[in-house]
Amino acid sequence: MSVPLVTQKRLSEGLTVTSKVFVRSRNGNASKIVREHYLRNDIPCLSRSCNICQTIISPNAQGELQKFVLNENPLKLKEISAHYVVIDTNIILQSIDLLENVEVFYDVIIPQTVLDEVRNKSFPIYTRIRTLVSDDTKRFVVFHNEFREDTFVKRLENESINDRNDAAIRKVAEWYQNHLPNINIVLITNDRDNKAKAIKQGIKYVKTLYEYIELYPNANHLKDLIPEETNFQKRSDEKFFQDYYSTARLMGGLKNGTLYQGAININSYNFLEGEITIPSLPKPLLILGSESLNRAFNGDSVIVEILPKSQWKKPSSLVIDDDNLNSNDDPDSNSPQDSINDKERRLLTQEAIQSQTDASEIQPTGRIVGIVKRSWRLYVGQIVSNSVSKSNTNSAKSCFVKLMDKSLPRVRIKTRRATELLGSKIVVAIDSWGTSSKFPEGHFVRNLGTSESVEAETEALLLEHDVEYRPFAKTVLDCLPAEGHDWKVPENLNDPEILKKDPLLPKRKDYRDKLICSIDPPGCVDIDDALHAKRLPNGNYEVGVHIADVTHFVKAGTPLDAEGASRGTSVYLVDKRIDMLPILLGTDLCSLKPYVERFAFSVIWELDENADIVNVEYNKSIIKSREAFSYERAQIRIDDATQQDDLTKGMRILLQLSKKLKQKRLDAGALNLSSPEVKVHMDSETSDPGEVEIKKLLETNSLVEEFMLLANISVARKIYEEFPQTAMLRRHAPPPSTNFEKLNDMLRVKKNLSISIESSKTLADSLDRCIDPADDYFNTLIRIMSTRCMMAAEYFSSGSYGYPEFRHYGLAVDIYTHFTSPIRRYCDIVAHRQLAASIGYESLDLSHRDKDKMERVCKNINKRHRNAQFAGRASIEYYVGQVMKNNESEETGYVIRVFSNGIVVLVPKFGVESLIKVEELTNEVNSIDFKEDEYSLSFKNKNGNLRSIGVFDKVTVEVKSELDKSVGKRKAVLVLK
Amino acid sequence: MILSVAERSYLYESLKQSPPIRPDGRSVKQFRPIQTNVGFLESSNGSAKITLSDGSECIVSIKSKVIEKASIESGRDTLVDVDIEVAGQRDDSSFILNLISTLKSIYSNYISQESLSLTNRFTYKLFIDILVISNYSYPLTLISFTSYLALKNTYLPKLTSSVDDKEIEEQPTFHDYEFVKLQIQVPIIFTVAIIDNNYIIDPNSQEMEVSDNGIIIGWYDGNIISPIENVKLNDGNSKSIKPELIIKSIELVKSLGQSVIESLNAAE
Repeated sequence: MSVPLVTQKRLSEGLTVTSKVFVRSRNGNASKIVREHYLRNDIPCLSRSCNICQTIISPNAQGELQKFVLNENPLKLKEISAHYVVIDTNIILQSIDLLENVEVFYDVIIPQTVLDEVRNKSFPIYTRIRTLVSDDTKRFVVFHNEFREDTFVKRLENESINDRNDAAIRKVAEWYQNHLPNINIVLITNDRDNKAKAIKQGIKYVKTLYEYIELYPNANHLKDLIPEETNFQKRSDEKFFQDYYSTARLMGGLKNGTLYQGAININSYNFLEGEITIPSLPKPLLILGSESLNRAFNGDSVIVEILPKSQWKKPSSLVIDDDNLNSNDDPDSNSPQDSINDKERRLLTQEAIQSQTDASEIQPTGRIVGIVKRSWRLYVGQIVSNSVSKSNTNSAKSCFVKLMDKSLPRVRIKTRRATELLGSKIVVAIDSWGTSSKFPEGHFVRNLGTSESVEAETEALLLEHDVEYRPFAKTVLDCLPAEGHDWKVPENLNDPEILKKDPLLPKRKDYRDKLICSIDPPGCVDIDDALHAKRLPNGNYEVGVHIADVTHFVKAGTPLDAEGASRGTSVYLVDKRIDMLPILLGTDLCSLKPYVERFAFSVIWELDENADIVNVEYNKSIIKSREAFSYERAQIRIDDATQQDDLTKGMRILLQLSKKLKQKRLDAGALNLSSPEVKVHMDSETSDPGEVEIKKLLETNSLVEEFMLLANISVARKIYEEFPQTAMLRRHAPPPSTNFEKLNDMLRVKKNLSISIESSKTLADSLDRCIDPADDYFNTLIRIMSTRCMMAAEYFSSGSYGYPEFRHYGLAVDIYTHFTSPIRRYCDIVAHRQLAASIGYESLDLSHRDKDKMERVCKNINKRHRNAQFAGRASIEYYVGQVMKNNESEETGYVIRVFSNGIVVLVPKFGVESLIKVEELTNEVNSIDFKEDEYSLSFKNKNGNLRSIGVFDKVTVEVKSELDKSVGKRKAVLVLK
Repeated sequence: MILSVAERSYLYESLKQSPPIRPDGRSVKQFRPIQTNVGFLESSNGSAKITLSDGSECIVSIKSKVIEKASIESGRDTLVDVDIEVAGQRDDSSFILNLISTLKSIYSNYISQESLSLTNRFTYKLFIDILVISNYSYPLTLISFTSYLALKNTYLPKLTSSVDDKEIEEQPTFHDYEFVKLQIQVPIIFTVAIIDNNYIIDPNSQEMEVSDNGIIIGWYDGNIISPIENVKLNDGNSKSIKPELIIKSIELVKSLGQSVIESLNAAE
């Protein structure tokens, strides 16, 4: 065994070169990598109390000198008096919240070694620590120890990289201790071994995080934020889970096709059942029981193996949530894993494919054997009251936190304030989940407030859906025009002063004479689209769609652009809007407000009598909207025959053309799906939710919609033509037939109907045929249920798919993008830039020409878009719950799923669905007869009469809202009448 | 090297004497002094350089790659690959191709599979890259000595995953920092020049020029091995070799083989 010889060579005064040698294992190969590493001696300590370093520093490439930020009179604490702090990697990774806390941690030195390790382990934490460093208030500095000659540490023989890095961190503490004799240096580490070595090395103050926090007076409340010090206490050796396979095994197995990688999706009805979509299997692979799930969280990227055939099962028709804690496992899956070799595994895969296509009852199951990437983030939950110890000592005690997301297990945390935090929504972070623990270990981060309060609930749901809601940073706001709200479209377009500032101005078309108006929901402030239409002398129509010119203000590559790209979309909650762009742009400068001049991006078509496109033209423009209508007012104006002005006539043309466009779209097979969209009316005075109504649709709604679709399609074609590899597009894949299997089977059994999904046309037609003469709502119900079987539409860059796959199934068009809402969607911003480039207005930023970068952008906005939808729905759900709190009522509901131990009922009026468990249906559990093939459940109801309930049945339910104490979530409770 | 008729005849006559008088005063079994240097190429797994007293110089670099054993069994790949570049020679010349094929066959036969084996399914493959910067005599001995030193000082990444991957496949993974010294026996090749009834080891350029013929003899693990074949040491006067001279040359190599190995090993 040997370690490469590393030489060190002095190049000049203050510069030495050495080399770093390491082995890179990649795809089973090992290559020796050698990197030159330069060492210098002009890296400053950055302490203001130091006289030496001031003289040695040299300016950077911009000619700026580094700022010395560490205070000359740092904080004094008992025992350690005036001190600076050096922290190790795990402190940052586990307690970033504590480092950000304003009460503790000032004058902190982060060795470069630590920063590099943090970046490799967790990028989000890295960016947070970077922000702390760039923000001077807490006086964090990065000390580039790896490049300073006297703090560089060589790796020794038989030393792991972690040990070497620990040695480098100790060296930093030692160096500072000698360099700054008047200030004490405290090394904070939770690693016992590292601490012992540091003391031996002569570092005077070495503390664990806990010991350090304890030195602060009145810091008891901060101790809860300290994560478990895993190295200091060993848990019992009892193992609840099997170890993950070694990386070597995982890679080998993935390569030869006996192990599979995918994202686990945990059943929201049963937290012990998950599925993973594997390309080589026709259906998702089932993962049953906590042992097979093997500590995976919903959304983790995991590696699975297929279990032996003896352990294949039927998917459970049970509803299981975390309520029955002890039933943590399926007893018979506890049998020890028989070891099977890869040859047998391959055969197993064949059988798995066979049995999945056979539609046999027994389905192949899998077991998680490795986790590629954790989806861990901050979670919101509530302390489980019966897990809190009753004794009143002041030491930290374990308790459970039940998370809002029902598909996740409860988390064990240690806190002193358990009793105080009961009934509050709290944020927890997850630290680890070892094989010897039944539950993941976490720590308390923040208290959001009493559960059910609007503030706590709103913040909770934003956090849960990973929506960035913090105010815009200063760097972002600095990108806005300096004039602020006074910004105006320049009056004199030929003024040389103005042209100097905006040389592209002459390329804009002047459309201020066109009679343009906007039609939006009432109360809309961020108006991103406006329309106009007029009849041309040749009998055709000129129709224009004008979109807010956001990219005039949001230039690529600015912090503002980066913020927009990372937020991806605005999020609409019932009583709140989280903007993608700062409010100045969204509601003023970009918003196409009436009576003022605004910059716009216009698409102008010449359409013939049949609404077929004769010609299309794209231009950056200046417009002046004549009026901003609400849907209702626009409708009234159109219907009012006394109005004969040109604006109204234009609107009538628009309406008439939009009807033709819609008909053409429907003929082509566009889907008309349904989701129970409800709207919450707020009491204007108290802003308490008053009543719930299902959204009404007017003709003017679809007027705007049709032209937006037309604009999106036209733009999509144009940018695809210009940028065939990187055009920002949106696709909607056809649903895989397996998605509709169950629904179709239910329809066949219950109603003798069927849905054909051959094409969107046949689907649309077959949906039209799904009518129950006795029930008007049945058709809508089927549409709602079909919507859930569809794939989600997604953004993509045109290089990622072949042209036939661009198809938007729902709209039945071959190509589509989003162009019309740049104020609230980032996709539209990219589409605007690409369109501007394709008409030669300005050149396209390189980041929108790079396939990889485009794919990254798409991935992020897809995720943000989904999260925004979920957050919006969760917000409605919360308010609906609040409304129902005051109004208990009897409503009509429909059974949409039947389990062996419960039924799921949807109440269209409130758009809520909820599970009714059998225990609530009957007193005699033995009387239950679950007929799986008939999708029905019969039982003796509480009066002792036999009752049978099947899927699609119309039932009357009592709706009330009940607070689930354990999660602090109010949910609709349905009682069958 | 071009010699005049007088020089040629003088040299030939001196070398014909018994014992032969070599122009640089060496005995029959004496090598020219060599200067060695090992492990100086950081990015290779092993490297060596030998400089001879006449200015001939050879550098060898050893690199490794992980391959599947199955690909060797099926003949798609070989355990060792040799590439030679000699200053002043085209790389497709028969001279170079001969050297390559000689070395390739000797290394493939005598570098043991076990020494490069990683797991049941994977093995290291070695790439031996040879650069002869300048040479004034037949370079095979120089090359084989330099390769010997390089191979003996080769460090390969240390495997950290399990060795048994027959039933349950694993992708080999390696320690990020540590290397294992390659433990192998390496064959070397001697050159003997024949002049009349005399035979001399390690002929220099003048001796080569006047020699009647040349023989290369392999040596591995204390024994004579193939190739034992004649080589052309000059462009003119080749004469046939008497069989007893072949036997005697082999005896000569036998007598000094072990001590050459010992002195090369001492050079590490």
